[in-house]
Amino acid sequence: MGNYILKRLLSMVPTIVLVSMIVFFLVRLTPGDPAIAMLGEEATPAAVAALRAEYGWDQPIPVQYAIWLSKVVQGDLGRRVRTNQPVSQAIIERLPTTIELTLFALVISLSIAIPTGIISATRRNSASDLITTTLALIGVSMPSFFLAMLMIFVLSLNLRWLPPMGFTPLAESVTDNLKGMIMPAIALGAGAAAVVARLTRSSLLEVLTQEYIRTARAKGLAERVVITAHALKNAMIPVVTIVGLQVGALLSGAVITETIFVLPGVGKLAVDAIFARDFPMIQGVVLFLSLIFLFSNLLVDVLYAFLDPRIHYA
Amino acid sequence: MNKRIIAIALLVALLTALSACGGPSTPAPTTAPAAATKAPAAAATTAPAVATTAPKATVTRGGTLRVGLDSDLTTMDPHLSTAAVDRQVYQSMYNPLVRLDKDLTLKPELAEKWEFTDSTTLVFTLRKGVKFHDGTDFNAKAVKINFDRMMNPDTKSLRAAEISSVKEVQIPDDYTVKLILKAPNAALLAALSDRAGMIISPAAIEKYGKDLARNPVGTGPFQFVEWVKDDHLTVKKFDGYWEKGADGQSLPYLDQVTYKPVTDATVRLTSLKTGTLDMINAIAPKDVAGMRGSKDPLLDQVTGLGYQALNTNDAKAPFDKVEARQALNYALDRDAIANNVLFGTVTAGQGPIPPSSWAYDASVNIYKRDVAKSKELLQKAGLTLPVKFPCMIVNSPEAQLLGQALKEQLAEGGFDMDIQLLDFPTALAKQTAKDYVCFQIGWSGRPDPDGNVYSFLYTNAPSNSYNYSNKTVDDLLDKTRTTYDQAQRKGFYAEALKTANQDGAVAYLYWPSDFKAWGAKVNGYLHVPDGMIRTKEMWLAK
Repeated sequence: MGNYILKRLLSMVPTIVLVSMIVFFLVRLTPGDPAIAMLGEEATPAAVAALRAEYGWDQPIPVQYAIWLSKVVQGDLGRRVRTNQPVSQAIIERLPTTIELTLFALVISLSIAIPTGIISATRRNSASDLITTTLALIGVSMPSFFLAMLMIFVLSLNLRWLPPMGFTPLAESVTDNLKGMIMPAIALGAGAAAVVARLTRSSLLEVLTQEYIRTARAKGLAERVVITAHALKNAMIPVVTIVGLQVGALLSGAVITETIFVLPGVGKLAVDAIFARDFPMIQGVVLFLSLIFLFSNLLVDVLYAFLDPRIHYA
Repeated sequence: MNKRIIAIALLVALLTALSACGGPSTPAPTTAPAAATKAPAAAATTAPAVATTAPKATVTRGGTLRVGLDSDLTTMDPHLSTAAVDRQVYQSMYNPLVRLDKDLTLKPELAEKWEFTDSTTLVFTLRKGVKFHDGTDFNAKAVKINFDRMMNPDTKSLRAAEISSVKEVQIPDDYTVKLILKAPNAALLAALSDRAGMIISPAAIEKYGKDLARNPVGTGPFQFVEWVKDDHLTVKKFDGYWEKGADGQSLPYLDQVTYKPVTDATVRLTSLKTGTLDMINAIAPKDVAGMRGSKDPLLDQVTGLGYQALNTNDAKAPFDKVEARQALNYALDRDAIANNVLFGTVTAGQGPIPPSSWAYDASVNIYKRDVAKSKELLQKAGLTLPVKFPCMIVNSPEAQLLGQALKEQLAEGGFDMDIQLLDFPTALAKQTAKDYVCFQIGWSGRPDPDGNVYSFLYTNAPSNSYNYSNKTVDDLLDKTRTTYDQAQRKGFYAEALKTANQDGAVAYLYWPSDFKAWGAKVNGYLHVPDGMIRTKEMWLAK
């Protein structure tokens, strides 16, 4: 196992380098000179040239990349354009918000999805099955931004239950934090909930046709015991995989959710950096997010071996 | 089968319940206008009274004002700022040398008085007893250090262009600053009412260097507390502030101001309506109609300082021909744009100087829509109808809507406008490189007309991306800078702009309004056409 993890870690290095290269060059291929983006309507050729020189954007792109990479290797992601704040500091500041949002969304989606999936599998073709599968279908199809706007309209503007935006750190006030987080977490988690619910349902249905379930029932066990003790445990293996992958999806979904609800997370940081053509910040965030993605995938693979003894890694 | 019907019925019930939740919003506005028809008038008569004569007893001190901004803040260093939104926050933290009043006249602020001793010498007498937030004294030396910093090429300050007429800064004594100009410049004082005139603590400049962008220190009514970029910026009351309020104590009335960038217009307005924000600095044109007559939040409108136009490149076909440019002007229906496309939120017109300015002259509006004349001019120029040309349109929803309307209007006048959707920085880059035929864009505007005219229409001036050149216009624009008499300047501008319009230099479209909206608790806001939220005399009712 140790060997396997080491191998996986080593194989990440070329992936990361490749990602960094693609981002670096793509960012520079996108139209829109960052110097002009920054100067806006006041852009004059002289001012643009001065700004380009200041940030080194007048150098050939490979040279810029080499300079950037050599700094990154030393742990320096560069500084944000204009504010001069270190990129790594900006990411670390925003990280707790994104982690909270992602976990919250995950908890919400799982606490909806798994019971729903079980109910709908055990009462197949019943009214409740029809309702839950229809809701799951809506959940999968509805984009998170649409659900977000719908919730803002209904829960904030009409019912005045929740604030339409804003973030209070947990340390300041738990209630205010939750008030600000609940709508974003639902908007973000709804899609995942639907996916997980559908998977739980189909996985459980499949398990329920297995012979050991028939055996368990033949032994005279209560249906509840059959489901929870025998079926569910085995049905959960594919669900765990998909949950692991959903973490990555939630992270990328946070980009939209955080922007709509004005939450100071890494996702909003990325969007703002793109609009501001803040090259160092875009590179830093993408590099960071791809690292998280790779590590969460590794974690899922390792967890898998623990859950299912039949899986071995060499 | 029965179960299935029940399930469908349940689902339908659920969906109706969901959509019904949206219901209450529609009946509400229908009753609101009736009840609130008198509200704006009442508010309008009481609001200025608060701002100008200030009923001494009613002002309440304390509280936090939460302001929603339409865009992210970029830097807190006024010398390096390029984004209009930054200036909203500067109003709280910095004082300029001179202050811009509601009618765009200049009033004393950090400078108690000023005088042109001759046409190239401007002498400021500074206010005594003013301190920076870090305890440093405000004096002539501080002003000189600020000017030197802006003028130093290493700073790469955009203010350098605004004060480029300054040759030297002399400080005869501690509270006198003498600006020696290279040439007379009537527009300089107005520039000093904005960022170029905002004085930063010399000690902070020395201490922070490049990090001044995140550690602002000025003399303003509020001092910096914290800035979480893209999330919020907080300032708190500066106890040592020099100005006194209506109650005889030091300004400001508020304890704290929090600025929050909320880029989504719907979320911003919803936040104001639900009381998550107290005031917002921009409202989408589509939301304006729905807010008229509302008492809480209250909507306030003034004509702004800027303009919107169709820029054409005189070096590229078909606009290398003067007839084509004139035809473009004849084909436009500016009133239809103002009333139908922009819901009456703007004023139709044909010049870079808006009606809010003392230099506005209605006689520059020389074009009346005439599609027959437009076609005739195009044919006279030897062009085949329809005349096809590409036009850059910024990919915002509002600009796209405007672009579509323009395309239809121009088609009636014999043009075939090909819309090129581009993001703002890309389009700007192309304009800067003069690599465009047509571009729908505007200018946010400056308090002095010079800032809207000179560097755009003068031959080879920095913002003259149209390749426009006319000797008569150049001569007249020179005169607007060397004459200090306002009436005379106004005459020169009118003449120059009429000439430019005859040449079809720019197809000006309209002057946007500045909208502000605030909750019922907010008092004392002075709506200057520059659209800045000046917080020092604002207060919150308990």
